Amino acid sequence: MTEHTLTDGRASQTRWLLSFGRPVLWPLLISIACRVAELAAGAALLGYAAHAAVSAVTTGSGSAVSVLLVVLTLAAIRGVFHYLEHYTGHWVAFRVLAMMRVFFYRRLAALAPAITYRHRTGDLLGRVTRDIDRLEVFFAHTVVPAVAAVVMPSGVLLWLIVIGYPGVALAVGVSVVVLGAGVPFVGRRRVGRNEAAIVAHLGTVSAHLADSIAGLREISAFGAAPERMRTLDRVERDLAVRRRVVARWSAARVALTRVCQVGALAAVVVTAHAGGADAATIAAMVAVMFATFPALEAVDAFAALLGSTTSSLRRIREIADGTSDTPGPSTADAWHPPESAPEIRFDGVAFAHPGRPGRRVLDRVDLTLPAGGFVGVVGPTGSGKSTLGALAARIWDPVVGRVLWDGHDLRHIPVDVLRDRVTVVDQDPYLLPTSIAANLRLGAPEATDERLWEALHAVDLDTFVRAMPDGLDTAISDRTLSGGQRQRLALARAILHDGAVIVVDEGTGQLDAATEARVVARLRREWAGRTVLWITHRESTLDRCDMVCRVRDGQVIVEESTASAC
Amino acid sequence: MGFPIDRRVRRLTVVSVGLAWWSVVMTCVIYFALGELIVDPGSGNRWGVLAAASSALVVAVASIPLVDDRAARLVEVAVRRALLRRIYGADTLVARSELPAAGRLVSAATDGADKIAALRGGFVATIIGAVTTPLVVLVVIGLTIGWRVAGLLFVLLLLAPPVVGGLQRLFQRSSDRHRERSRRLAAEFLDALRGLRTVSLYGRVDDHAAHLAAASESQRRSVMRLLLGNQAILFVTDVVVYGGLAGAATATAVHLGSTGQLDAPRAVALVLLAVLLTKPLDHIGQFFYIGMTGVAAEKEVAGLLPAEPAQKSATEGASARSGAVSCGVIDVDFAYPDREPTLIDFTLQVGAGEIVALTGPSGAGKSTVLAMLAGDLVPDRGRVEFGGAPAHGRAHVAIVHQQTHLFAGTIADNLRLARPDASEAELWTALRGARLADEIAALPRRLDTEVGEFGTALSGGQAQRLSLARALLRDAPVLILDEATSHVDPRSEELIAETIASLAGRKTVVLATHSPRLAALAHRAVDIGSTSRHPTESVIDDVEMNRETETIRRVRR
Repeated sequence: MTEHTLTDGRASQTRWLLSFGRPVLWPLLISIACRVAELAAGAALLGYAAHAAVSAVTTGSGSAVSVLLVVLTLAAIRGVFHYLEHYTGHWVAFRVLAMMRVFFYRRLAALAPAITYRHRTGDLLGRVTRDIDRLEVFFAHTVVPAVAAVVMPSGVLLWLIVIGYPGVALAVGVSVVVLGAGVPFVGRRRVGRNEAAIVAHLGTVSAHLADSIAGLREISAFGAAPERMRTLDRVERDLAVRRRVVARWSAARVALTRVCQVGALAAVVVTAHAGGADAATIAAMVAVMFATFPALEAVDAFAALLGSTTSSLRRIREIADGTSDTPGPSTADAWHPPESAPEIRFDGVAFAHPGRPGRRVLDRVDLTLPAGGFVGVVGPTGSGKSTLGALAARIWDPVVGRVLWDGHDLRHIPVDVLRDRVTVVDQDPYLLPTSIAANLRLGAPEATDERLWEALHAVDLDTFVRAMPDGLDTAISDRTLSGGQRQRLALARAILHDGAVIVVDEGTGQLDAATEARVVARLRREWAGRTVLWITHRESTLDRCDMVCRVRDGQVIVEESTASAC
Repeated sequence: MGFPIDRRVRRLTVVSVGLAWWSVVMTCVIYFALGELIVDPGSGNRWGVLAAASSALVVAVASIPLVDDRAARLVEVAVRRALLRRIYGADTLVARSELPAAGRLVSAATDGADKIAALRGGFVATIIGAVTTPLVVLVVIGLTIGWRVAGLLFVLLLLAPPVVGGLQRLFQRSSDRHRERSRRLAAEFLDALRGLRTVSLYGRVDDHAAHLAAASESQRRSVMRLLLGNQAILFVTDVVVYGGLAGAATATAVHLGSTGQLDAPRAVALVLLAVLLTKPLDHIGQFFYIGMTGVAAEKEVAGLLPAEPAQKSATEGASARSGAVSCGVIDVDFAYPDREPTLIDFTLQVGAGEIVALTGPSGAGKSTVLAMLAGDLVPDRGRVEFGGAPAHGRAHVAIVHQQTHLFAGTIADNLRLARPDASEAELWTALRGARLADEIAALPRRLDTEVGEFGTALSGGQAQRLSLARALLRDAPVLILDEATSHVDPRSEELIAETIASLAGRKTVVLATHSPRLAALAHRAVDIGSTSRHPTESVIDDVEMNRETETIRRVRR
């Protein structure tokens, strides 16, 4: 990355952060002010203590009790500001966290559902959640001390000039610049590169290991474990080297800091003496210089987190600034479909995932699903059958060709209207962690309890729910429902949504044969007059279909069903 | 904690603590030198002492991160290696089904190892240092200023843990509640992201966004209330510990100084040393997080590792290359864990060079028999034989399963799984044998085409033929095919059938299949339904790795 783009990036990131942080600007400023006051109280305490100690010796008089009281008072003042700083800091932290999460959710929602079908979505979401946390920590706990690290020493400089020691002020000023703007940034770019390499290596280890676990049967069969482990050894060695580099730079920075700190204290002694200060005053100034060190150390934390925070921000913005894969039509082109079940036609459709354009999951598909027909789509895993359903629901747009609803391109239907008219049942259904009723009402918020029970009866779950002590209000947790029950609940939810087009992807895979047959028969009745795409890899449910399509390696072959529709 | 710590790591921890003590002593010397210089900046040898002590300090302080890093690396490698042994040690079907979820293992081997390394490789030393360096400072004070001062400060220092600890316990419940709510909110957020697909398909995202905002806001309000009391700990610590120590030191300095019992340099030094006593308290707060996550990671890793280390040695890699041999399972019993027995007193003998087809209903035990021959299952009773003598299937069998996992890498890499030292010519021979050579040659990068997760996807039929080519490359005397063509296009199936036919006499072939084309190739068909004496109704058919959810799920048929 050239210097030019680096500063560009940083400027735009900072602007984004500032605009994002406007709602918390005042608490942030208060937090900074409190931290500065806290540091000032600490400096005053040390300065006073050193001065009093030396004065007692030189003047031979001094009250231990009054000294103790003053120190305790200053400590109490410091304590008050310490408390206030942390309180406002937490206020900022929680507000920022909440704002980021809601913002990100909304942005992601605009890109959904397509973005949730991306490869390794789980990893992506986990990573972004960590990124948001990192931004929160930075915003709320790192920025404040870093800014205070500039303000407080400036105050010290001002004080020194006011009491008439410009020479000492110069010494302090130089030391502060070195310790605050120089040393913390030594080697950061190199460390940043190594840390990025470490992250990449850990990613390689993750991927390699996940691959090994997925193919463990093959590895065992061929006794290939030692070879697999040897591949990782190379990565381990490089990891160790890079971590050592990071540690060495850390050591260098610590060493430099200590040297500069001692040098700063020595410089104060020399310049203060040259300025004609007495021993007690020199002692006070040394102590105050000493008190700025913790403030300056905060810059080190800031510098350390800057790199990773910038990349976190970039990752979040990459997603947040994205555009939808399935944009809605302009108002001129918009077409609102009637309520009736449509004929869905795939016209010369081909599809490949955005990340892998070379591999066509579906190719040259010409297929007509009759209006109100119950169409079975069958094929092995990876054949493209799920993609057919995804295209019919306009989760993606085809790369070539069109998908037509009663002759109109899906791209001309407003997205929210389409979502309302199309019901989708996923392979591994997601259930809200609330109640059964809330889940059922997801697609039909106005549904009456009576309707809920009807839907549950259609999927053979009513007896089960009636047996629960809380009935419809039973809370869903991982243990309440078995796989088969979750699938049936998802189907009941779909029944309530009642779209004109219904896409079911492996909707009954976890049910035993008898229950499956019963449920499919009831669904058939429930969905008479809707266009249904019934995707499965099992042949057992196909005899109830009006039409059967076989999908193999991206090609679709139509067979008419021998059994007539129920 | 369950995890064994290397002796080297312990030694490095000791060195790290020693360096911390040395640094503190040097710091004390620096303070005394500064004190002298404040009073008399002209004293030349004091500058010399300052310079010497500073150098010594710098060397010590710079060495600590290096020592800690060395220790951390040793720990990280040890943790990862232990987890790898656990994973690769699961070399039978049953062992694989008992393996924890892939996500947990991978995360433990990367993040977990990192956190444990930070804990054992630096945190432990830092904590020991933080607790002991104040004592070092007190000894220095005792030696240079007086034991009564040292004693006074020691007593005050002893106050710190009970005061801070007591306050923490007072707010323990509210702190726990706060942490629990934060965790729950984070989990809700992650769950909301996971549910976004469904919620957006149902058109309800706005509702959920509003709900998320409301939940965050209510949590924030309750946490801020909690913190009002909770943060008081900061104020009390500042007054009692920081104010107490600094105040006592200064008051003592003033008292002793005004009565001529203490000179100015030592008076200043006393004040600075008192502040040094409070430094560790700051650091403990910072490192608390590392401690907690490290301990949690150790617990997680301990839960993933088996109680006793794996008994058996690594399975042999090379195959016993020879002509066809006879093979069989004799008088075997087998039951999957917690299930009715699949095989009781079952015997199957296959002659050298024979092609035998196993038929029978789903779940009757065909895959079980084949897995046993291949060495992927150990019979509860009975034996597995090759050429008339008991032997391990791994060396004598090459197996093609219903679906092939392609590893990230090239086609050549995937083939070389069977024989790492195979030459390119040998790879092409195997591909020709499996009737896949022409299609691979037609690819732009030929053998170097990347396949697997991020590479070109081979069709089902091509992947199966690749698996067959790999099995041929292995050149084992027995070839097993377990439903190898059930997800394959008709042309690929035909090519695979041709390959099998060409092997008659040269290899012993056992295949389980529903395909009439393949069954027709067999010299003999064995129906499992009738020979396994206690066929069961619903049996675990195979343990299937579901790549989407990264869990091992038992597939019920």
